[in-house]
Amino acid sequence: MLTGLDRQAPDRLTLSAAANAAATAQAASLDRRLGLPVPASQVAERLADPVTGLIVDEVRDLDPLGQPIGISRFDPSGQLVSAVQLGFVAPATTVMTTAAVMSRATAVAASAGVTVSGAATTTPRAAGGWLVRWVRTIAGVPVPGDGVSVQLAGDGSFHGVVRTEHPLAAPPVALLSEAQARTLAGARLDAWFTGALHGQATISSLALAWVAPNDSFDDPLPTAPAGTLRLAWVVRVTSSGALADRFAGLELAFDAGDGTPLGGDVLE
Amino acid sequence: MAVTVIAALIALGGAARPTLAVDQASVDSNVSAFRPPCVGFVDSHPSQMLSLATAGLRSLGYTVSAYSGAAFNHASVLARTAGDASFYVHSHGDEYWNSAAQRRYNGFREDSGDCNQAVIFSPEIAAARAGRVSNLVVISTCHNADPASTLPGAFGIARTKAQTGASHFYLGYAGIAYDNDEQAFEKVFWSALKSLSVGEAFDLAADQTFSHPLDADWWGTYTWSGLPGGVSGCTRCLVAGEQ
Repeated sequence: MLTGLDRQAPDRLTLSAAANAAATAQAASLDRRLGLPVPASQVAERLADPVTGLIVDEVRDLDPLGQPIGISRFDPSGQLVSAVQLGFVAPATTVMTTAAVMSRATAVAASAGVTVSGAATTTPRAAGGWLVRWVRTIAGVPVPGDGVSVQLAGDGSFHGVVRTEHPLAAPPVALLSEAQARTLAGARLDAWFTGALHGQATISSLALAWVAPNDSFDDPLPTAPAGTLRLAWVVRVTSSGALADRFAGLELAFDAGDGTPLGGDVLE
Repeated sequence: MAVTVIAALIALGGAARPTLAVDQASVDSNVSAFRPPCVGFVDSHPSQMLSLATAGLRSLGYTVSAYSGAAFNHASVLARTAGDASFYVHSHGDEYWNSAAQRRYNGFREDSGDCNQAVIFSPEIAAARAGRVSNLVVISTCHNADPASTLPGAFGIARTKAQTGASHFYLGYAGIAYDNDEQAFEKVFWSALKSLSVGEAFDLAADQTFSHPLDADWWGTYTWSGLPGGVSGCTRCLVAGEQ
């Protein structure tokens, strides 16, 4: 899992001279294709996610003072993982249309050599600029933590791109029905919210999705390698009454094959 | 609200208002709302984010005190904030109705170690800080970086963005934010501060694939190092002479 690549306790691996040269060449090529300024120098290092073991080669583009102006990351096969341009960009006075943003982001993805598919969503960012996101789907089922995201700065220039693709576990032979998933979630809510709170957490939607099992609710993690996604029923829960003072909602994930709880998320 | 503020000042013991320590930082995380008896499950994120923030601020050189449970309460936050150069909180946040003022203010809920958790409103923080500017403020809640949030101003940080020129930075989430995404963002942010400015760390943290449409915002100075000490000792400012 590339999200949360840990730099506080990094597994810093030795980057061979050849790998260093390859990574910096990839970064320079990416800069050219995206039309970015030529850096005064570059430094590269190999980082490993201590949780998942995934490895990236990170290249920092530096200005003449040695300060970073961009960071790009590549997997060991040379595939782009992410790139971001650093520096505050004030919003432009002219407003870009959604169509223009989409067109620009699509062009950025193509220039970066990142393949996109399916429909994208375009969202203005609070900090300025836009996020255009293509969520990965497998046979029509979304993989919410995977896909391609392109960020444009407030003036429409390139700001960032990230491509995330986790390994998937084998899909279950037989799927639990939505009704079975609803029953599982209902039982969990009945156990969690008793007395006056009973009924203040209600199911608002259920959908299949590929998710990363997590320990959000102290559920035991599966024995599969960390970062491997499982097909799950994701049950959205909305709170009301006094319970809404503690959290706004929950997501409960259950293995779509055997109903094993796979954690979920809390919307505080 | 006025009563609450007075109560908080009384809680200071009538002593002189503490002076702003250049390296004092408080880290608060609401754990009680997300574990029994308040709910039937144990949410592991609040304590993990508390640890990340504590380590992150310590790594920058702040003298950090971390609070959760009963120690993270309305009175203690207001008592400490006057001396805090930097502050982190993870809790339930919103633009809450303030009945005394008959309007909404941004804020966040205390922990207090029980299930009846009062809101700490932005004007209460503003009154306790009396205009003192903060260095680094990270508000890990929903809604406290919405465009009209009143919380940055309470910490003395204007809702403006600048490339250089000062040593303060407010980070929060716009709209709703799920725990997993917040933790992923903050994990990268804190660790990136080891070698990047606050704005750069924000950009790196935002360049991830989140499971939900997480949206974060910041106000302050992009190139500030995040290091304590205000305008002095800036060893990692990006532009020479703009410390």
